Amino acid sequence: MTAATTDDTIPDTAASTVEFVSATNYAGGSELQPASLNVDLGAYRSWVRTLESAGFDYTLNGYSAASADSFIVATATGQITQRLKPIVALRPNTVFPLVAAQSLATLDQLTEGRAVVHLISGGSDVEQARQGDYLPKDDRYARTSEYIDLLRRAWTEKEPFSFESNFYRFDDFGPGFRTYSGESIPISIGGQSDAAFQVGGTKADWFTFWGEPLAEVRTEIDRVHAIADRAGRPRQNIWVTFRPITAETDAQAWEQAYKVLAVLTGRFKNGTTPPQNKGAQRALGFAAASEHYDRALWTPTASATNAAGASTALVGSYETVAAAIVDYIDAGANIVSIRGYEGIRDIEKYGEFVLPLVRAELEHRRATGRRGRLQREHLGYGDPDFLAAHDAAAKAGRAA
Amino acid sequence: MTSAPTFDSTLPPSASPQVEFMLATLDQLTEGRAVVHLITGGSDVEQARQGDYLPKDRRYARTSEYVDVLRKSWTEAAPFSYEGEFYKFEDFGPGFAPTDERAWEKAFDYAARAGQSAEAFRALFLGKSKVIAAESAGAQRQQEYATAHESYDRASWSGIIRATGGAGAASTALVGSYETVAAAILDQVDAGASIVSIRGFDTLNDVVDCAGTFSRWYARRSLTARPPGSAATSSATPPASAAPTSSRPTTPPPAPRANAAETAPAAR
Repeated sequence: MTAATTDDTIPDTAASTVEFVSATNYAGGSELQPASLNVDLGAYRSWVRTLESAGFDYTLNGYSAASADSFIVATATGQITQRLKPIVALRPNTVFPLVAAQSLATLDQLTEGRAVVHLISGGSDVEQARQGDYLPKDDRYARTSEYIDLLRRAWTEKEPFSFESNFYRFDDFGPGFRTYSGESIPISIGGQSDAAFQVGGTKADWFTFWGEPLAEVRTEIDRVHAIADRAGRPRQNIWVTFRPITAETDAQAWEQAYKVLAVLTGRFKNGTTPPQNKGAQRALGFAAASEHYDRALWTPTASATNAAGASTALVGSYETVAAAIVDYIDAGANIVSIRGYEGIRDIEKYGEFVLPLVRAELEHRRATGRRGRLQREHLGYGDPDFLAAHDAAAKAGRAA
Repeated sequence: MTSAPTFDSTLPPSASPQVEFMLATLDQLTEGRAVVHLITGGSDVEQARQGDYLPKDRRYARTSEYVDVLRKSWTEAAPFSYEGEFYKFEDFGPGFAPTDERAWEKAFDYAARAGQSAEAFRALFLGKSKVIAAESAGAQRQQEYATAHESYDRASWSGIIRATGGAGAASTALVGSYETVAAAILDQVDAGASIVSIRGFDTLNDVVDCAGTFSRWYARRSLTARPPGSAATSSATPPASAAPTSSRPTTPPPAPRANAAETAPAAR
């Protein structure tokens, strides 16, 4: 599919606002040149301050069984920044729901209402067992569903309550520690399985996608929103994640893209075990079918890393990448996560060029009711010069 | 209750090394200032509120395993598996490690000695209606002392415990002038205490006034002036020039009490 670029009518599906997410790096360095596994306090502080000054709205505090704790880092981030909203990635199996509710409400009060939680149900049996979770994958979303119910009840019930189910049991809890507003904080869900859609569509506030081809994202947004409509719930905010590789010109961006690919390919030589999670399986499927989609989506970074985490790139000049992001806003995404491979330099570039270009386009639309020129003038794969720049970089990359 | 195949309702709320990450992260973010104090749980009712139905006499066995898992996850250089009475996992690690192992050694020593729980105290002072009967040994001991005498030693006073039914943790008061309270703290230091926790009842003003300046200052000054092995009760007022032994900066005394009134926050 190629993006519609000649018509300046705003599509019915388009979101009218966008918020930007990136991720917290507490160790310094970058994905290409990792610094260490531990907290580097100076680098961490400057990272989150840079995110805030670059204009990001949220920062994701990721979860893995070897990383720093996402609650604690989020809480510290909230004290270093004034506006940036920390998102806590949380696996339900690692924390009892009432304790998580208390931690999140604490974060929310300490940040005057900036807390968000992103629930990861768990995509790999091996990774789950590392933290003592032996629940089969099929049951994990049922547990997540109850987990969401208990989070919300812990935040909002006015009287003590008891609960007994297959997963949780307690007596006379509450009323729990309140959030800043007294209402539930936003709850985000990821996952591409049917169970993920069902739980996300009926219970979550945000639903997340990796950077899939536009037509796929469009279909999937309809799918989750249809579940929300049937359940009589507000439609979810749609969060899409990319790894942009961007520079002043398309040619420079492609040069950089092939350098990144060479490093990733060297690092992930053992990525041969088929992933269990549907999102990664889909990403590898798209990558096997084509390297290029739409305006500027590039999939070799997903193949090289066995799709371990959101790994598809958007490649091109600042304008091309901004236009590609607007394509997804046209498809209905209103939360866009962009994380680069070059650490703090990428945050600065995104903040100086990409975020303002996207926001300017949305301002233009608000003022005129029409699309601006960004998508019409920066065609990406639809532009022969763009393809020539790609081919030259690919050739140089293979020769190196 | 019905159970999912792998769920055991006696497992504690955080049946995983997750807390390891939290503490190690806190320690790294504070460059080595984290300490953990483990509360095993003194009331069945309070434990059940968070889904814990383990009988009291098994809770210390769980705490013991918990300490083992924490230590292992901070120090093991390779992934490890564990299967105990309470915790089970496979191929975890290496975990996220704190910066200062020695600080953790200290933390575990405190944890091993700690046995009191704070829920009844909280219930009382946060305005919850029910006072929970003391189940922890620490609270029961407090109750017995308070029943036997209202006053002990130099300045200990059981009045608060008597008033609260004795269910609160750590509610023995030290009552007296700054000098008297400081002397009473030194009595505890003489008995072997090396860490003294003082929390007031008028929290902010107490921290600024009593704890923050006078008592702490007097206690530290007295310690600095002592020759090794000397008894506190016989020590004279230390010379003003005595250097503090504490590694923390010691605030010079705002000598007269009038000064404290000026710096203390206005009534809330």
